[in-house]
Amino acid sequence: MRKNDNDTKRLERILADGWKAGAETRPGDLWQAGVMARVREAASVRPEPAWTNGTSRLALRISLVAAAAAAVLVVWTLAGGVIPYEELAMKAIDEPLSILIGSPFV
Amino acid sequence: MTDERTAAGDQEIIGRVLGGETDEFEKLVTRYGEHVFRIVGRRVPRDDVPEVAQDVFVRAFTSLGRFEGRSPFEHWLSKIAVRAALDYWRARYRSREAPMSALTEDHREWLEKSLADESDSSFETAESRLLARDLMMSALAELSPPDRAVIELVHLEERPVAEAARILGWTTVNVKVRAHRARKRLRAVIERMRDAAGARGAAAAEES
Repeated sequence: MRKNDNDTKRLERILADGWKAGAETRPGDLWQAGVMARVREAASVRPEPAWTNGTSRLALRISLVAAAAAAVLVVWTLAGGVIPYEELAMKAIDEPLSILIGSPFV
Repeated sequence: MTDERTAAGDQEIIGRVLGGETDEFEKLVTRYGEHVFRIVGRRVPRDDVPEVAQDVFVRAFTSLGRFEGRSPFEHWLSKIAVRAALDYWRARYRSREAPMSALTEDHREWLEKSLADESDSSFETAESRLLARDLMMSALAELSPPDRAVIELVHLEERPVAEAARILGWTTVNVKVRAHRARKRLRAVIERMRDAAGARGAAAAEES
């Protein structure tokens, strides 16, 4: 029994050493030319980067429009379009009752 | 220092390839061709090594944009090579095609001789190493492709469990469990080989 175990371990070690030695093949010029031919072929059909495709492209467009709209709003606000505190103060002076009674809904 | 220089050089080449200079990729093929052949050469039958090694570089090229440069390019390429070999065996496992299952008389004789020879001297020639390799490939062919991949990384190449986990994309616990089970299966296959060779040797001794 012990001899069998030892034989198995020894055989396993010898086979493992043979496996580690590998196939003993080396890349040659022809092989390298073959790789580059396939690489050039792949380059000619390489898809566009992921962000330019389908859903990503739509999301990109929407975010560009949203950014432009935000920029317009900022410019308009700075130019005096909406001044919330001033508007509220004016309303409080003009119609004090409506502010007091209906303030939550105004 | 040399490694740092190589890594910096790799990054520069990768940048140029991604910028559209496809031919620059050949520098990486020249630099790492032997490395890929070594990894693939251990894992697939001799005749298929060049083709699988080509696949490795084509895969590397098409996914070069995903290389983040956090680890050396060589490590990233090794991962692709190991996975390409795993895919090779998956395709054959599915179609039940086992290229290494047929052992010749030479293999059987070698097995018998190596068991009888206590000194391991029968293992010293290149031919003998090739026969040993074929036999190990034959034993590994009896395992499932993931079992095979984990055995190759952990037991045969003696890589750390964490590294094997990174290469295979598994958890370290999964690697440990699977490696343990796969080792037991492999040992059972080798035991069968040993018994068959022992029976043959006994029959030959009786005849003479």
